[in-house]
Amino acid sequence: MTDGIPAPNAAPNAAPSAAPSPGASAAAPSALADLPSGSTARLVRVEGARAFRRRLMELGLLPGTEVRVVRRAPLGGVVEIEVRRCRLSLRLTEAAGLFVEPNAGGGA
Amino acid sequence: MSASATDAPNCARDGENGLVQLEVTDRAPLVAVAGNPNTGKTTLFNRLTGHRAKVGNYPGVTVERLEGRLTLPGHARSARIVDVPGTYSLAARSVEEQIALWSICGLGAYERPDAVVLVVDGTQLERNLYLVLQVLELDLPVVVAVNMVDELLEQERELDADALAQDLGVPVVALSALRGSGLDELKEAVAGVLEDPARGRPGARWSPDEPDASTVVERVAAAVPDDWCAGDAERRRALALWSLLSVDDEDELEGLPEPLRRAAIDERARYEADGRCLEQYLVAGRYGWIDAHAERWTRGAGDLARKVTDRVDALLLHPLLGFATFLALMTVLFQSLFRWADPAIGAVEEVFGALGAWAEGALPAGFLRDLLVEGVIAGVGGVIVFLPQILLLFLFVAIMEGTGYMARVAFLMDRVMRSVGLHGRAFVPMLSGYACAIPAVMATRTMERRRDRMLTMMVVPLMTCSARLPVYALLIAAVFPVTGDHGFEQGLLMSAMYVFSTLVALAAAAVLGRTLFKGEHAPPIIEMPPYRLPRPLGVLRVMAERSALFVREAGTVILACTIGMWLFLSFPGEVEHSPEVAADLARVEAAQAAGEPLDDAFVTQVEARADGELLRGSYAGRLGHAIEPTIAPLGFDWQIGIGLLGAFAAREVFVSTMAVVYGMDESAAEEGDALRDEVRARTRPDGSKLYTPAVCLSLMVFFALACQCMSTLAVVKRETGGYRWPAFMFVYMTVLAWVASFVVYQSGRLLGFD
Repeated sequence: MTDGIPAPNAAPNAAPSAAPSPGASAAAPSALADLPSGSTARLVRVEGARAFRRRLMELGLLPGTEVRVVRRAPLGGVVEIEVRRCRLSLRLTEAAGLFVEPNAGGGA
Repeated sequence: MSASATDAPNCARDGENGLVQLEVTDRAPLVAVAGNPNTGKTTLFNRLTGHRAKVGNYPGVTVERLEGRLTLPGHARSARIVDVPGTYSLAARSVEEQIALWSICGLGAYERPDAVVLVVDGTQLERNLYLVLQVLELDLPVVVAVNMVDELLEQERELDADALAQDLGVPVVALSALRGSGLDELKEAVAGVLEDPARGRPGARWSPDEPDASTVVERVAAAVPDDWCAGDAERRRALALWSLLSVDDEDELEGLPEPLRRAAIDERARYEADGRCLEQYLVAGRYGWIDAHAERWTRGAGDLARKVTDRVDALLLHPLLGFATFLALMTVLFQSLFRWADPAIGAVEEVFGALGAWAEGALPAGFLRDLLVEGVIAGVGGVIVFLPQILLLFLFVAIMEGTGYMARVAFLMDRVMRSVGLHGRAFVPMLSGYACAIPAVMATRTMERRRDRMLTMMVVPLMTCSARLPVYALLIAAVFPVTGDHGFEQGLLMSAMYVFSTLVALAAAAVLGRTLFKGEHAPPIIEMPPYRLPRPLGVLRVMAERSALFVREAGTVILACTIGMWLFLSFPGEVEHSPEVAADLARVEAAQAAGEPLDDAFVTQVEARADGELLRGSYAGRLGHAIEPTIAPLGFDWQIGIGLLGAFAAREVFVSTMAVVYGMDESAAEEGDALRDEVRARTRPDGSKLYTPAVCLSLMVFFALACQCMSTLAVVKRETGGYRWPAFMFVYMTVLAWVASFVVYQSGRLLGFD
């Protein structure tokens, strides 16, 4: 909240993803942060301030990439995710810019 | 300052014959070592340089720079080797981030390396290779060092170095920096690339192929300065790509030509006009190349990956057990700083005390003896005395970093720390601040971002450090009446001071984070590395390195300040003694000359009174008078002013300074009771009580908030690389202290506590 990253909805001019999102379904994408711990999903869109979006993408969080929610911090506010064999902890306010389409399979 | 200029002193120190060495090494090839964070880059660097690397600073920023010498097989000359700050990408938004590109590419004042060693984590090849592709685009000779192949094997996966070398087009060496395997092969590969740079310069693996994007890149490339690319068209395009990913309207990059900045912003806007995202296209392009080849590089399913880490995390990040473990560990850390360091601190003080006493007896009385004893020996002791806590704290920090637990601390504490704008990792420095601000300021290094580091550094000295305790103890004792047992109330007041300092520190963080450090708000993304066993040698190295840096860089400032303080407190050294003291002194002198026996207590008392007059007549005493008008509204007289000035040496010195000011024997003051009684009895010229509850509280609040510690300022100067931040810290804390003490004293008076 102190970091001033615009919430995705508050930034209508944030460039939406133009890259092909393989297997994009008609179902509305949901925020990664809303997924239960342990579930896996495919990223469809990365939103947020330009510099932050770029950093996420450079860490491999690109549309089409599979992401797993590993766990949430006990006090909340932070979520640990796994992408390309790498674990990252993100603040929920920032993870709110990551949109996914849940996998039918759910688990790994 | 050019890179070669910063190298020079080290080279001179390394050789037996400084000047000749300097000549040769200036022309020695330069090898840069770059890679993602957590790839074991530092371990490898230390292995390659035989643990003889020197820690320096990148000019103008608070980023540390390791440099050393690399002996190459079959080469008469050794190469110079320098590390590049760990980064996931060359793209940058701040001066600190841009060091990576600047030093790899030799832009600005940086010297261009003759070869770049890219250290990658073999267990996370895909993500690590993103940076490798960026460097390959720059068309610089590259060797890829795949580290942690032993860990890869433990995961039942295996690296195919040949396939990776084939796909990347550069030499690839598999190694384990931890075990020291593969180092000779790496040196050979580096030597080979230095001999024949073409071997490590295959060119870009992926370039934009979409027509619109290519046009954008070509247009921006035209704005790249010629001297940045030395006629290399490939590097020109790479720098255009870098600009497109880095530049925006709010970046803090320096040394970027305006036409390049404009071109990058305009061309990107043009490309994105119809809703496409250029950055995503560029990043996805590189990852697309990686994904298309990744299967060839490792064999094995790798299902074992993370098994141990998962199990440990299940405990250490558990909502209950995780916090219990965390609290237990932090208690141990705090206790060790606060109590267990005590014997060592006491020993240091004793040794230097004895050394001073010995010098005092062995040397003829005079200026030089006093300078040596009270300036130099006391000053060196005042530096060494911090080492026990620094060593202990960095023992913990190095283990926490080495095991990967530090990232978990941030994960656990982020919610709490963030509420005041601090990084989760700020917890350890803040906690250490309760013991001493000096190691705590040094521990802010565990945070990568400058903003987090500076913010934490600016508020850590507000925590109640142990040097404040003797001052509080004296004043708390003076607050309460002589009669009756007030132990409980006294304890309560002491606790209140802790709570007060904590709340002020957190509030200061919230305010500074929203004002001074407002602009820099890219939120942290923390990697959660797998748990690893720390290397004992690596831990010891961190401890030794930090201590050496402290002694060398902050220590010299502290020593100089101690000598300055001594001069300030003992000169001009000639005062007109009051008639009574003069008479007593004459009596003592006459008795000594006649060889008559004298009461020792009487002699001590006369000398103490004479010392008190000396101090009151010193420069410090004069300054005490001079500042009296500014501190009178806080309830302090000029004699307390002398104490405040003396406390700059260290806060607890206030107690002994007041004893001297009041003409008491210093050793008697250390017993405590005598000084306390003196303080209670002290009156103002009009006969009213001086140390009223309002004055005591005001003085305690002043000590809680004011930056009364030259060692803290010295260490902040060393960590920030300049006088700007310590100056800011001193001013803001002093103003804060003055205002708070003013409010406390004046409202105390209104409420009748005066």
